[in-house]
Amino acid sequence: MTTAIKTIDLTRVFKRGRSELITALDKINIEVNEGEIFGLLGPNGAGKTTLIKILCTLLSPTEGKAYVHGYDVEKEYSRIREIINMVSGGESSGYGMLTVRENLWFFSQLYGFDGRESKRRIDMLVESLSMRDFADVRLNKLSTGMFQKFHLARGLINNPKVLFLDEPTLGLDVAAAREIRRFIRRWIEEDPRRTILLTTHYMAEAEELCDRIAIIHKGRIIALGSPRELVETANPERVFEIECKYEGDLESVLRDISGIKASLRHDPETGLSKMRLVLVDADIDEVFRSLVNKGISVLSLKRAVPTLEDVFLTTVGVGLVE
Amino acid sequence: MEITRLLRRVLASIWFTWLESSNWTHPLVYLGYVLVRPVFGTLIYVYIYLAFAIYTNAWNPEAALYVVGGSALYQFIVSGMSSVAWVVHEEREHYETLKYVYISHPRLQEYLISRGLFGYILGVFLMVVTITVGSILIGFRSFSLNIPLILIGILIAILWSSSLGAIASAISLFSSEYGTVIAISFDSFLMIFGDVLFPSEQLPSWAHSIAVGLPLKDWMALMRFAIFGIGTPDFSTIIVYQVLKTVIIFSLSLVIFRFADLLIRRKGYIDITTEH
Repeated sequence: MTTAIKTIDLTRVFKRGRSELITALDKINIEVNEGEIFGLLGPNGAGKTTLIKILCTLLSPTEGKAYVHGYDVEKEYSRIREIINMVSGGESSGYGMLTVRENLWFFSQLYGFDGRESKRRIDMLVESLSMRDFADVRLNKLSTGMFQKFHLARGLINNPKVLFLDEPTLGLDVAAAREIRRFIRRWIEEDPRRTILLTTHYMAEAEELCDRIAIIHKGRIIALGSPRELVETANPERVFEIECKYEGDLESVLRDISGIKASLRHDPETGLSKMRLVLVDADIDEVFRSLVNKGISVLSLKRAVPTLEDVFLTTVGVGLVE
Repeated sequence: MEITRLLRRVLASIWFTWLESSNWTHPLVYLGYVLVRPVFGTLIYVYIYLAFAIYTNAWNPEAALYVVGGSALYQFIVSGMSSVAWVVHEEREHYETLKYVYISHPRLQEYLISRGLFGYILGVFLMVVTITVGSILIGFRSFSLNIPLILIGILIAILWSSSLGAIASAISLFSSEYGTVIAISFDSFLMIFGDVLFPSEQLPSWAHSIAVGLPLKDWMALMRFAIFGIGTPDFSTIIVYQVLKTVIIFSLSLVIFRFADLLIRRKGYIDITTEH
C-alpha cells in the first residue's frame, strides 16, 4: 500500500508577541494511505489547519518532517504542488469579477494545461458538480452553496492526487452540504490513487466520509482509528442522554460535577436542554442526585448508543459545536 | 514542453490582468481613463516650463524635450513595474487568492512578472500618447526614430524593471498593510535617481553614484537618442551596461525572492491579511 502522506514528529511553534510561544502542532505522527479519506477532527485552534498548511507547502514546520507522496514539504515543494490541491470552506478562492468558467480557466492555465484539455476538465467539473446554471455567472453573484461548489471545482482542476479539504461544508445548508459530501465520496471512488485529508467540525461528516479519523487537540493526536474502532473504545454502559429543564447556567453546574464529560444542547423554543454524559469516573445515580440537588428538573434519562461524539467528548473533554 | 506551459501561464496572466484592471469597461473608455494621469502629468511639466520661459524670457527647447521625453518614458517603466509590485497586495489583501495561486503556479516570481506584462503593453501606449501630446505642446517635430534600438531598449527595460518589481513584491510579502507604499516608493526612487526630469549630475555626488548604478539613467539616454535623436551616446556601450545591470538585478531578484519565499513559509505570511 502506497503512503500518500507521512509526518514524523511534526511540530509547529508560532511566536506571539515578543516572547510567547504557541505550540500549534506537537510531534504529530500520521500516515495516510493512498485511496483513503483521512479525517482530522478537533475543536478550534487544535492545529488542523496548521497541519494542512504545512502539507500544502504554505507553511514550514518548526521541527520534524512531512512528506506527500514521498516528497519532502520543505525541499521538494514544487513537486508537491503539482499533485495536490486545497479547498478551504468559507474562504474566497477566486476573483469576484470573473465568471465561474473564467476563474476555472485561469487556474487551469496556471497549471499549464492546453486549451482543449482545460475546456474538457472545466466542462466535466461543471457537469458533475451541477454548476451549469451558474457557470457563466460572476463569482461575486453566487450564493454560499454555489460558491463552495466552485471552490471544490477549482480544487479539482488539476486532478490532484492528494486533496486537502479544510472544513469543506462550513456554512452550507443541509442539502448543499449533503451534495458536496456525496461528490467527495464519488470523486475518491472514481480513482483508487486519490487521497483526501479532511478537517471538519461536523461529527456526522467525519463519520460518513472518513475511512480513518485522528482526533487532534492542542496540537496532539489523542485518538486515531476508523470511526468504528474509535466508537468501540467508548463503553456503552457509561454513555447517557438526559433531557432537563433549568433556568440557570447549566454549563457551570455540569462543570462542578466531577468524573463526567458532558456536551450540552439548548433548545430556546422549548426551553429544554439535552445533555450527553460520558461517565469517566462517576456513578449515574450520583450524577442524577447532584443534578436534582442543584434544582434541575430531569425529564428523561436513558442510556445512549456511543457515537463518535462521545469519543470526542471523552478524549478532548468538550463537545464540538454543530 | 515546459516553454509551452510557461507561455500558457504568461498569456493567461496577461488576459486576466486586462480583465481585472479594465473591469469590463469599454476598451476606449478604459484607455481614456488610464491616459488621464500621465497626460495631465506631462501637461503640468509643460505648463511649468512655459510659465518659466515666458516669465524669464529664457526659452530652452532642449530642456523641455528632456522633461517631456523623460516623463513619457518613465510612464512605460512605472506602468509595468507597478503592475508587478501591486499583485501581492491585491491578491493577498483584496481577493485573498494568493495562497491558491501560490500552490497552483510553480514559481510565484514568474507569476508576478507575468501579471505585470499587461502593464508594459499598456505602458507602450501611454508612452506613445504622452510623447505625441508633449511634442505637440512644445513644438518638437524632428523625430529620428531608431526602431530596432527602441525595441531592444523596451525589451531590456522589461527585464530589469520587472525584476525590480519582483524585489518590491518580495519585500511586500512581509507587510500586509504597506504593500502599496513599497510599490510607490520604488517608483519614486527611480524618478529621483533615473534622469527622468533632470540629469542626475545635479544631485549630490553620493546620490549621483546611486543613479549611475541604476539602469534607468543609461536607459533614458538610450531611448532619448533612439526616439528624439538627442544626445549622441555610445549606444553599444550603453547596451552592454544595460545587459550587465539587467543580469545583476535579475540575479539579485532571484536570490531575494527565494529568500523571501523561504521566510514567508517559515513565518506563515502567505495568507496573512490586515485586520482592523
